[in-house]
Amino acid sequence: MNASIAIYSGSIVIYWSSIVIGFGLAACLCLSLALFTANGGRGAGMLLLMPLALLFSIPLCRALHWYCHMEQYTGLFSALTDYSSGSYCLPGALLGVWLAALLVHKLGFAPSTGALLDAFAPGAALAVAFIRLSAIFGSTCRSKITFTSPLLRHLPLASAVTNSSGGVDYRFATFFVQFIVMLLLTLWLMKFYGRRAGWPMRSGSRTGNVARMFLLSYSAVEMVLDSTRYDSSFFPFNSFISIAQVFGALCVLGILVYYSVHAVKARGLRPYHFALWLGFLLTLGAAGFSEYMVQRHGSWYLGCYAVMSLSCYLMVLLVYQMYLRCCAKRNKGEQE
Amino acid sequence: MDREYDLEELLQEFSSLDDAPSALEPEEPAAPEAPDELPEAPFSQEAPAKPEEPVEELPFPQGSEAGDLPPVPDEEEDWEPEAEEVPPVKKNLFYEVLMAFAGLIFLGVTAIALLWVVLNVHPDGGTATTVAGDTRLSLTNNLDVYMNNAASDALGDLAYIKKIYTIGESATVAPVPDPKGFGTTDDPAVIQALIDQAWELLEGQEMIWSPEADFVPGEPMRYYYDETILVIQWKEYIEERCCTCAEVKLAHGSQVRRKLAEDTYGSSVQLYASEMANAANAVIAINGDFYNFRNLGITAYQRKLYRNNPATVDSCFFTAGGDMLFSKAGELMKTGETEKFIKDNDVVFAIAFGPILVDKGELQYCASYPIGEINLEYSRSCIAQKDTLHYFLMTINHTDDARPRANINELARFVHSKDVIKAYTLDGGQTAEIVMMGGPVNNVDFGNERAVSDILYFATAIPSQEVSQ
Repeated sequence: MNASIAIYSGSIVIYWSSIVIGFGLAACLCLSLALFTANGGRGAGMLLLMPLALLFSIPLCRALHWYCHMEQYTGLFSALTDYSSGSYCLPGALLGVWLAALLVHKLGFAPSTGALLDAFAPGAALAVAFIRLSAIFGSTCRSKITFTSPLLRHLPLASAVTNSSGGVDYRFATFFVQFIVMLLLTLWLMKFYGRRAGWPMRSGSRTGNVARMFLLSYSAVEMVLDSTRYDSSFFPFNSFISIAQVFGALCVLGILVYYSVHAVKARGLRPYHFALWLGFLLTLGAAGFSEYMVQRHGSWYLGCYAVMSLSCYLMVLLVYQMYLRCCAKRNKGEQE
Repeated sequence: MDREYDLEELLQEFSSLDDAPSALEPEEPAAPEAPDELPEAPFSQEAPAKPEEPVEELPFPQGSEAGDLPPVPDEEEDWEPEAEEVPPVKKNLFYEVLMAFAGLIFLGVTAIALLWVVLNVHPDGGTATTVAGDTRLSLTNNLDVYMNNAASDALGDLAYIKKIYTIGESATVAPVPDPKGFGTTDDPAVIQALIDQAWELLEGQEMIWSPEADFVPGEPMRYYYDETILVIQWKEYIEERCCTCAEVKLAHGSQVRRKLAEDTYGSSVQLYASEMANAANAVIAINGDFYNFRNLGITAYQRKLYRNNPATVDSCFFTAGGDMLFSKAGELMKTGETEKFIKDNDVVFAIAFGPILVDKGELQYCASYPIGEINLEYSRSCIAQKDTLHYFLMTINHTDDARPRANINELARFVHSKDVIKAYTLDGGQTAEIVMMGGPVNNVDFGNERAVSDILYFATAIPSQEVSQ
């Protein structure tokens, strides 16, 4: 492990990365709590959500990592009980947070799971940003793309990675870039929350849409950036498409299906629905093809990632369009 | 056309973070429809404040979970959900105090959870099993080497005793090869002269390389020679296929080595073979079994058994003496049995791809095999042993003039024609690669290397200090 140690006292070792993650989670809690209570939610609900989310997410993230890297652990039990080493797959946290929100709602501390998740979404984006930032203090920011030009060998584009022979490679700073993107996403989600949380819908739940937008955007970001990593986690039966990419694609697809069903329910089947689905299929195909090409032709990364990024961005816009088709008009005379 | 949502404006709203008003957003704060006048507490459990504006400002009841309504035709632009009366919720003081108390408790629990995270969650390592290797020392062997080299130094010019050079088993980096030892040529006579020069290292063994081979025109022959290693690499046509071949003769078994990405078994990191070869100071390297890609066969590294799943694939063991040993699919099924095999045969590492192509000098026919798409024409890679510490590497790849590649039985026939005693298939396709002098020397599929989890390589054993002297 190349992690930088912040505090070393007796048997207690605290890494800088852990401190940054701790700050990220604290910031997530503060932001979510503020948004939730400012909109009439009970603070107790959000305060309960955080520990429950950690309780569910950490083992789920670890279990997912164990599933992808079974040979790194002596068994599932040790993977779930010994956290002194090993790593995590972040998609597990999505399920963990959802389960926690469900439980908080069932316990009566929140009016709805969706409302809780809506308030949590901007905070979650902030937490992911911090988690990615923590990689700066370790060796996990590892990308396939190496930079040879001295001009490019600095943040935010590249970070130094020590290779096995002790030399230093300058590689694309995948996690630092994701940190910046997630910060921007946090800002956008805050704005979106302010404007659209609880927005009336012609069909579908009026809560949970901010959370869906977070999931949509985060998945799109992961689909691109996880591809640039050389230490992605793969399914044991397939070492071509990473688990984060598969989860991302499934999330985007799931959200599209959800909004499509409600858009059709609200307005009936319309030509623009077909146009959006066709557009989605095209962008999904383009993203998949770019991934295939970059795996086969590693040196084409610039073009491939440009196409993949554009495709994922368009994918998000198309799903967003579908979401808008489910929204109700705000009030009479607004268009005029 | 749905006038309610203007596509361009909505895209702009979605993609920008500024506060430019959109079609959906009324201008703030003058318009009565400003966001702060929308349902302020969309999921509040308390009674909503009485709106000053008409009730259409709050089209849905507060806290409404679903707003499913009957389908609305697009033409119905002025459609608006009807407002419903929201019954006021009576405040319960006891309940409020209880919730506040619960909040305090949850705050404490949250603080403890965050502290636990800070103390325990540090995902920097990425891997849990950094292999230090089995550092069991073979004292007898080491003593022999020490005594031999001490005698060689002591006797000096009085009597010639050849020094024995070895590389530590747990070393992740081999000595740097002498740059003067590398060369390229088009002239078979140069290679023949090199072979003659290496008579002592060859110990009377015959070479596979032959000046009579059907060399690929325009392709240089590469070589490296020092006291501990001779490498000759060339390309030749065999039955229309373009075969990239390399012959290696070593002085000691420790010079045939395996490198894993990050030098860690099970690491999630994948690197290009050339990156790993260069990092390890390999003279020549070939792709391995890509053990991370599948969970089959027997995998050992630095004498430690990591995987014992030999039911369906053949495995290949490399001993400390540099010999290749095979176990066929279905053999060594029990972990204890495999561990005993590793110990008894002084096995340093094992790879699992297969099938076995040649065993005891005999061609092995393979009718079916679970991996490697053996009956398809594919880029192939294999490693073979001709004699003691004498190896042969071969890949068959595509060419610019669209020559065919090979199925497994063709590969077996080609490598058997080189008079090897053992040969074993390595991972093929885009993984099939031989690396020498900094990069791949064969035509890798798609023109680009594929990131893999391991390589096999051959290194010089002469310490870097002696090379510099």
